[in-house]
Amino acid sequence: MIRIAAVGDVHMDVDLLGRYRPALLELPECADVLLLAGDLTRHGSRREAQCVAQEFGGLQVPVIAVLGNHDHHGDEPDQVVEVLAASGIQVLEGSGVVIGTPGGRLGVAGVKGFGGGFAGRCASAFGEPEMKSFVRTTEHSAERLSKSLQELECDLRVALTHYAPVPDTLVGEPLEIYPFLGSYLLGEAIDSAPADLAIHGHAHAGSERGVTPGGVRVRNVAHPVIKHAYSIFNLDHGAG
Amino acid sequence: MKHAEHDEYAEASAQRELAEDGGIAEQGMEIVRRDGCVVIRGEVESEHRRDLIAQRVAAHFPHCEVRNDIVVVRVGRPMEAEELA
Repeated sequence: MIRIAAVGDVHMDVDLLGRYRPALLELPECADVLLLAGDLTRHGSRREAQCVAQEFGGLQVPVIAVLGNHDHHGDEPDQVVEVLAASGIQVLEGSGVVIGTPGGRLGVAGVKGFGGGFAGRCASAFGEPEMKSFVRTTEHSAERLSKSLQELECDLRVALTHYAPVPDTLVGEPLEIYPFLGSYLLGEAIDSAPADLAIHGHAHAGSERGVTPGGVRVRNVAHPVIKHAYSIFNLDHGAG
Repeated sequence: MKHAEHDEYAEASAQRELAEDGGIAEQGMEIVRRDGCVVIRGEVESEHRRDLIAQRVAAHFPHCEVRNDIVVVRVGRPMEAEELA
């Protein structure tokens, strides 16, 4: 069994320093790894990234993250990644990592992902260049997620995204904004590996649990959804 | 062109300010117009952010009572794990 802690949408800034730390220091008792599902900052500034590093870095378990849309707002995501990496937080974007745990080798592949919507109500790469660019951004992200997942050599495989791969975990959000919250293309990528578990954030008013068409369990760990410092998933071999 | 005298435009303008203002960056707030007052709902990470949001929204509805029903999300350790066998 591999114990996975996960949270997203923590939106760190100086006003939150120390808020998560007491619960994070207890992580080695209950988890082998911490996954951060994007929107780690409010605007993607270097100062906010330093707050993330201070709050979530230097833990006794590996910390693996993807960025979210907020982390891109300052147009300097590379600087955010650099600051996080310096504190030992590994940021994935179209890439994967395998870590050894007492319960086996855990593979994590991650992308931020993007929107577009879900089957029957999704955007198409058609018409204006802006529309085609929007959809192709998601297509590209999903392709990179699929490839990264398939390349992992591990015992259990987890997909980590910011945007949602299924509509199930968006229940509670206004239907009108589903296309801005995720895409079925991410779900299709997760099923292509397949993953044993998919973790995402972004949907603050969504719900916690869902499943892909291929049967992969999906968990929305946006902080306002889980209402704890993190969720813990005990993932057994044969899950998924 | 602004038509902030109409509540619907005021609500849209307030929502965009919450998302786009550098000091706030909140996208998940719900602004409900009800019987002449405005209720703000949502979840944020600190009391400071909660109060700032209410202050900004109130500026868009100068003739309405604004009720702040925003909650600060808890950050305790979870009591149990989910078993995925």
